[in-house]
Amino acid sequence: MPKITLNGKVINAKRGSTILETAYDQGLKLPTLCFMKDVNEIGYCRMCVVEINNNKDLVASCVTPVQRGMDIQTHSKRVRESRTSTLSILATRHKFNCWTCARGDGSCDFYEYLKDYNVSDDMFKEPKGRFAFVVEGEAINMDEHKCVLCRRCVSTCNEVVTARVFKYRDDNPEDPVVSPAPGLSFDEAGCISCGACTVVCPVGALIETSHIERVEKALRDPNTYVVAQIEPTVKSAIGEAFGYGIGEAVDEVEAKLLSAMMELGFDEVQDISQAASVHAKEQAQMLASSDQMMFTSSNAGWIRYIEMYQPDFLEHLSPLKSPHLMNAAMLREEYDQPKKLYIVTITPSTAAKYEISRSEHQGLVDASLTTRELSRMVQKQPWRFKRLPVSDGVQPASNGSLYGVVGGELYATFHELAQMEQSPITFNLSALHKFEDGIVETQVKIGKKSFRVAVVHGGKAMSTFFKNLPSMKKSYDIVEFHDMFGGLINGGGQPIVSEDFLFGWNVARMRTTGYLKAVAPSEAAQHPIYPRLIQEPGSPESRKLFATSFSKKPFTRK
Amino acid sequence: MTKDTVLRIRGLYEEWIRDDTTALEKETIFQDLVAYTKDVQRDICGKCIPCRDGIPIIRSFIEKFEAGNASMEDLQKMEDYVANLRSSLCSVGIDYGKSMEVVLRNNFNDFHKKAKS
Repeated sequence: MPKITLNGKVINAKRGSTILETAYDQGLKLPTLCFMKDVNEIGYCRMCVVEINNNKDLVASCVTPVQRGMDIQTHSKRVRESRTSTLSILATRHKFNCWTCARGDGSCDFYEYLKDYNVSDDMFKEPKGRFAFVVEGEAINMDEHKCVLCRRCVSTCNEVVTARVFKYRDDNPEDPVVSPAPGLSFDEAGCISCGACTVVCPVGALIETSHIERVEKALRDPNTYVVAQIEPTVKSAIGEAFGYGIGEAVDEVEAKLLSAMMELGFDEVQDISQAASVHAKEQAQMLASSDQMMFTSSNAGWIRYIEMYQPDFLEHLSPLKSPHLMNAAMLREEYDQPKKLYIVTITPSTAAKYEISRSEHQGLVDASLTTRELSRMVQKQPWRFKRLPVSDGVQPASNGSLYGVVGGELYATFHELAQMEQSPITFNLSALHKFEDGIVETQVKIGKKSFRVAVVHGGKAMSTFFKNLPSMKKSYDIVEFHDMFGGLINGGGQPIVSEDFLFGWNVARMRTTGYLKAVAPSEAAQHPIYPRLIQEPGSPESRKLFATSFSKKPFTRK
Repeated sequence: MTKDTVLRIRGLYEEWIRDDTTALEKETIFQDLVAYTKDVQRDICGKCIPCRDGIPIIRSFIEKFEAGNASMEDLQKMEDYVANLRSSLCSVGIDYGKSMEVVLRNNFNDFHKKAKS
């Protein structure tokens, strides 16, 4: 262990670790705009620079390994002045419309650093931004006025998601540009809409396509009956936007969230978990009668992935709509009031925005808000989330409540199957929570039958899975897929916690643990409409309401 | 302005180590520095902020001095941005910064006189 001096304190550093990691281990937070552990260790932004042995040349701590005898200053006058200059230089190419920016909610790293390092606006006058264009998409938007060229999105999309949508074009080195193929929207350029880029962007350059305005308009319209259908894992993270810790007080947050929805003006609030149980029931029926490997289809980003990148395997998808679309289909089937029905999905998924715009799903869900968008709507209100009363209208949790966690969809599906077959089940959900690995497999036993199952989460794991699939000796009975590492609970639309991607993926684990502690699924919880509409799973009425189709989708990468 | 002048400014820091009074000719200093900066800009790789975005700003300050439009505030900012080149990723920014540090130290009066208070 190399002995070093860090800000005057002698410590033993881990051999092979960088100065940034050592500082982090010592409880110091150094500013960084580009660093992401194992994904984007490039030393471009120069925000994490430190002074070594009083040398005037500063080095980037993220790419400099510790060496015995180093005397490191992380916040000396020279270091602070350098960071101030770097920030003010960067500010000359950034558009500051912070009050309208989606990251103006306190989650913009750049803004926070400008405050921390006392950068005054007379240092950069009236910047107009780097480039004057916006790249659009059904789920993701990129405002080039704000890009700081950190390359996080490029590396994340290449290495973590493997969709390789972004390119860093530096043929003019003084004016590099990061964007998808020029002239194309995200939807045309191979984007799976997972939202990982919006989570890692240190500014408001990459954001989810906002549906806030259209929802607010519907809430103001007296002739509209607005129903919110909330994906249950929203409650595992929305508290983070209101001062709760990660995975903390999920029960309390859920009860206050219900009150908040009523205060916002929604006429009715539904928990999608019961529709997810319906989905599990229908899927279990299909699994029982299927003799080929089945892929789950409830994750919209995953559907984008297979339709664009692995279309040869489309026949393996269970041909069901995802739970929020099923719920919307049931609501619309029964609704007979004079007011216009307007359905809003609230979910950690950014891809749901794309999903509701698909031609197969037109007219079902009118808007899809991410957890972050909902928190922004709440933050604009005169009341405070934490001081809201606890609502007693919380619906009981069902097995469908687990859909957002890794392995949860399989858990619910196999429990429905066990119930159908009236046999005992052995299913160890926690065995699937190995967050270090994006592909986890296990055996499920129902009576005397044994099923080989796997969970694949994150684009990199999907890519590896399909690479290895042809050489596998035995295929799986069913495979659950999530576009984001850690599952929907860690979706691209959840509040942003930068430590998550800077030094590991602990946030997915913390959210899952906190959520599972609060949720006690019961098989008794039933969907209020389903029994009235559907005689039995797989019936013609069920297919009419719940079936969907998938097809190969073209994309361009220039 | 000759290629030799650009080469001389490129090696100004080494020259300063041998002779700490080394300075540029006051009659042509701003034209020389603009030419030198343009020459360095061809080598910018576009990766790190202090060099990619900093050197063009420093050049705009030098051009303001050349045109007689610079202020004391500009001089102060220029000093900050030059000092910040010490945190560049590679020698393009670091070497440019070192040469400019020598200029700002030994030709300071030429800048100061031109700056409007």
